[in-house]
Parts: sequence; structure tokens; C-alpha cells
Amino acid sequence: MDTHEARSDAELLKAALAGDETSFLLLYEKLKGGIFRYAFYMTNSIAAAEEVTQDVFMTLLNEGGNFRQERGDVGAFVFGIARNMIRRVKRRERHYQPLPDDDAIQRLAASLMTDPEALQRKMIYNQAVEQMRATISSLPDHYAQPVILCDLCEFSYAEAASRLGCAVGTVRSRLNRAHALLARKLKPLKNPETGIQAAGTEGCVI
Amino acid sequence: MNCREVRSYLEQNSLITDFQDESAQIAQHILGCTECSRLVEAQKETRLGLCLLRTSAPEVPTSLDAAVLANYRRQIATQPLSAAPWHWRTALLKWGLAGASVAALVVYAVIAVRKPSNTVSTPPLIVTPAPPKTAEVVRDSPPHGVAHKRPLVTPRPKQWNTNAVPRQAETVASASTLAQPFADDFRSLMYCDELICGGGMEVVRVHLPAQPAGLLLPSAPTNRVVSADVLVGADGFARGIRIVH
Repeated sequence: MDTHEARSDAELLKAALAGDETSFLLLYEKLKGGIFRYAFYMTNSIAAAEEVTQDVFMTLLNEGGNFRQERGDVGAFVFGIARNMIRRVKRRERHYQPLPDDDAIQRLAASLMTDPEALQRKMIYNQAVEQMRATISSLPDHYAQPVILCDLCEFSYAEAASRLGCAVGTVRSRLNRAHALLARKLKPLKNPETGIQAAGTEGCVI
Repeated sequence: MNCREVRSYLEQNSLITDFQDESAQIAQHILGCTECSRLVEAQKETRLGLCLLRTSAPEVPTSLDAAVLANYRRQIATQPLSAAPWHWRTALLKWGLAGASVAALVVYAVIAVRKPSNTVSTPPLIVTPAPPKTAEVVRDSPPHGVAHKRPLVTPRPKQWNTNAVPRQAETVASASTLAQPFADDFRSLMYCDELICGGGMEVVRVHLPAQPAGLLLPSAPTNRVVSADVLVGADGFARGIRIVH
């Protein structure tokens, strides 16, 4: 096991393609978290993230022979596959509106019965998270990608640059502009009362 | 710290969630600068929101691990995976393509070299009447081999290559399409009924050894060569002959 852990990702991939299950599991453990979270934030769906992660590793097994170490690391190669998969999933799912799953509704009902205050806090929290998620989704792709990779998946600038295939400075500047855009978009959502005041009493229907 | 430094600091440290270290300097500046104060507040809120979203990320389901492992085992069982054969096939394909390209270039070059370059066009050769008595022709003996000297090309607008050097003495051929019969100048060959045939006719100048062809008297030297114009029909058969000299 120690010899496996000392190996680089490229060596692990080669061994995995040759049929070494331990190498495959090590590589999977290294990469699965990043891929899953990236897919989740990009699609806003756990089911889609699971599907993408599974397909990415299947594709890696089939296309792993095409990997060239001089072009980048295995992580970047796998992220390239993931990005293509996510694009395909998003294209397929764009006509559908996701529904909350049954488990979530049941959990919500249970917490309503046991602890109404906690439920309120939870709803505020969920609302803030949903707002943030929707705002990131509304960003142009070249701004959303650095935010997801650096802020949410916790990659460094260099790692994000390697995954996105651009310079570190580009990632840095795009991230800064993305933060400014996010702040501008979130501002009216944080202070909704200003909008109501501007509408006046005649604007109220009830 | 001035406004520019505050903005630069925020830009350089986009990943930092809180500004604890520089809080003293930043706080000192934003006390007197409302714009920077607003900017820092907005950045803090954004980063807190991102942090919130980050902590809300779901864990990787355990069912996924099992599914991926099962897929891997199935894949290994169904087909042997190896990185090496793919490289081998790719390399083989590349070299094969390169070899085919080179072969195609060589063939093209050979064809281009063998093809005569028709660059300069000249007016068609006009056959002038032969001098009355240049040589004695023996009528009884048909000139053998004349019919075989016809050009292989089909009649077309003639082009003349001035740079071309004849390879053999008997193929200093000049051809031109004739519109009229040359009954006066050309002598009919014995196996042809008429000097006229359907379609265009060509005149081919040939050099013939005089003695075997029977064109000169037996007393003449054996190594003499006779220049003659042969009238060739569109069907490729010689129709007439004219001794030039």
C-alpha cells in the first residue's frame, strides 16, 4: 500500500488501466471529492453530480490511454472530462425544473413538529444558500468557473488555472471581477425593503 | 492605506474570507472613506455567502463509491485495459499516414517529370509542297514501319515545345491537323484507297533508313536516311507519304 501511495497520479492511472484495483481506488479517492463538488455546484443537483462523477471515471477507464503527462496532470485531464460531461447534462436538463425530493420534504415536516425555531433558522439558512447558488449560476461561465473552483472547491489559483487551461493571473482577475459581480447582484437581495418602500402603499395588492 | 491599496489588497486576496490581519489598517482607512467601507462590506458579505455555500456542500454518497468500483471491475473483466497498445496504434497510424503521403508525393513528382511541359504555343505546321525531285521512290515497295510511327496523342490544338530535344532520329515528329487532302504532294500508299478519311489528319515527319524501306535505288549508299512526311488519318493509319529529302 505504501508503494502505491508514493506513486504519482499518472503512475496510478497507468496501473489502474492495467488492472490494478488498488491504484484505481487510490486515484478515485484523490479525485472524487473535487469532481463531485464541482459537478454539484455546476448542476445544483446531487443526482446529476453522482451521475457525472460515475461517468467521469468510466470515461477515464476508456480514454485514459489518451492521457499525456506533458500536457498536464491527471487532475486537469479528469476535470476536462467532467466539464464536458456537465455541459452535456446541462444541455439535456435545461428544459426541466427540479422538484424537491421526498426525503427533504419529510425532514422539513419532522423538524417543523419538533423545533419550529430551528426550522426558521434552517429556512433562512437555506434561503441564503439558494440565493448564493442562483447568483453564481447566473454569472457568465468564465466567471462562474473560477468561483466554483477557488471559492467552493478550494483549489489554489495554480490548480484552478491548470484545470481551466489558462494563466494564474487570468484566474485571479476573473475571480476578482466575479466577486464584484456577485456583490452587485446580491445587494438588492440583501436589502429588499428598499424596493418595497419605493413602491409605496399603493403598490401593495393585499 | 489609500483607496487604491485597499482595492489592490482585496484583489490580491480574493480567497481570504475575513480581513483579520489587515483589519487595523483597513479599518483606519474605511473610517474616513465611505466608498471603500461599502466595498469592503460587500466583499465580506459575498465571501461569507460563498463560505456558507461551501459548508452546505453534500458529502460524496457511499453508493457512488460502490457503483464506481463495480463499474471498474466489470470493465476490467470484459476487456483488458492497457495504455500501451493505444500508444502503439496511434504511432502506427501516424507513421502509416506519413509514409502514404511521401509515396503519393514521389508518384506525383515522377508523373510531373515525365509529362512534357507544353508551355510555348506555336502556330500549326504548314506542309509546304515538296521539291519536285528530291529522291527516287520505288512505287512497288511500300514503306514498312511508316504506319507504326504515328503519334500516340489524339488530335488537339497543337502546341510546340521549342526546348524539346528529339530522343531518336526517327521521332523528330511534327504534327499538324490538316483540313484538306494533299493529293498533289503525297503519294498514296498501296493499302489505302483514298488520301482522304473522315476526321482530321496529321502530318508526321519521320526519318527512315532508305535501303530497307526501298525508297532509293539499290545503287545508293546503304547508310542513307530519308526524311519523309507521312499523312496519318484520325484512325491512326498512314494514308500517304511525301519524301522531303
